[in-house]
Amino acid sequence: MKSWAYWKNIYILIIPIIIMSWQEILKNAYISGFGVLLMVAALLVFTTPQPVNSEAYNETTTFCNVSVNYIIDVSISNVPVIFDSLNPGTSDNQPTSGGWPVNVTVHSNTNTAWNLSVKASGDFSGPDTLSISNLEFGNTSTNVEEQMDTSYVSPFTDWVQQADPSSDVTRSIYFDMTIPSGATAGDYSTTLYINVTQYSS
Amino acid sequence: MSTPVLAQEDAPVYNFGTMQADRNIMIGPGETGDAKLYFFNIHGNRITHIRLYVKEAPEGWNIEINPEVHTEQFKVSGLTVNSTENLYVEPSVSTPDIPEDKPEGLEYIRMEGVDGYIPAKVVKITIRVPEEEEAGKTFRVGVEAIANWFGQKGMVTFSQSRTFDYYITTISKEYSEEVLQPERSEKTVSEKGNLFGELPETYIVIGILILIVLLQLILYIRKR
Repeated sequence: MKSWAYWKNIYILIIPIIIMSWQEILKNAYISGFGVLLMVAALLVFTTPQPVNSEAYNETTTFCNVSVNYIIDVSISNVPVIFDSLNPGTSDNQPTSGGWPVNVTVHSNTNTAWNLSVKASGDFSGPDTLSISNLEFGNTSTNVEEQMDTSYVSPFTDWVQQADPSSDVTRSIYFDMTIPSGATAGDYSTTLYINVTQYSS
Repeated sequence: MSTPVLAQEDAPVYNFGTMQADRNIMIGPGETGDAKLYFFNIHGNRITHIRLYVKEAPEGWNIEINPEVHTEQFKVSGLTVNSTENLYVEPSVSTPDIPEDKPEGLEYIRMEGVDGYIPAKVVKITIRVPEEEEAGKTFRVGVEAIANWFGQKGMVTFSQSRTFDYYITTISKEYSEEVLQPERSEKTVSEKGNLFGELPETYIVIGILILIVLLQLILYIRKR
């Protein structure tokens, strides 16, 4: 698409010539050879492309690049999670030490958006195995309904795509435990992984 | 044998601070590139034990992590404990200046929200691109760090994990630059392949002007 400046130049050139021509035709007037040459010269001058900004041709550019490091600083507290002694066939048991809640603090020196997720290393091991799905977690004390998995899960909206924090930000994780009927007596344990990684869109 | 001593009666706080530099790296086929990871522990009160793994890498690529995995011994509440790890990071505080007798493997970094310099341990990730790898492509390398703490003797213990992605663009070993001629389609020739590289409306205008000039020349010749 031609610009307005282009068409303006064309009109400036063409309109006087048309007017002059009709005046000459009507008057059957005389135009000198010099006049014709002048018009041809004007035609060449006006239709020759001109640089828009001649200063641009004198500039020297250089590439400047800076890369800002990714900083993530996270602390966890109120761990480990200890449920003490529980009976088979009981559900939604709260821990007696730790885990109500576990606090995950993303410190203010973190400079990137982040995601929080959790997983377990595997089922509870002991005299027998207890499925890891018997351990439930939530982000509030009234919402402890998510079953733990051995893959990272991030089921809450305040765990995902969280902004670069301007002050320390804490997310609480509440745990409870179900002991299935017929579970063999003994001590069981597992390891949970808390993952805070930069969020990339 | 390392014997870091730490006695804390406060409620345990397990801190895992990291800084990733050099996320985007350009490496030529057959060459190596380095990236640094910094680990610090300014908000915790327990020693953080860190092990790193290569989580994801293109086939045939060689990724080295330095310091390598090794076994360290620690005395935890009177018991000698072996730890298989790449490094450990003791709790520390920032300092107003960088100490003159800086310990080996320790660097002092600055960051927003923390006054002074933070002591950080450095891990070097060395990436070797195979000789036969195609230049001009970008590949992802993922390194996972897992932080553990002693003293958690419970039913459910915790670790922190974090993934560090690196984007490696392969480049030619020697600089070269050449102009690639675009393939000309029928449309390109009809629109831009004319004498002045201009669009057809320009020729309409020039044609009208030439007609006017010719008309005036005819008038001029007749007049004479």
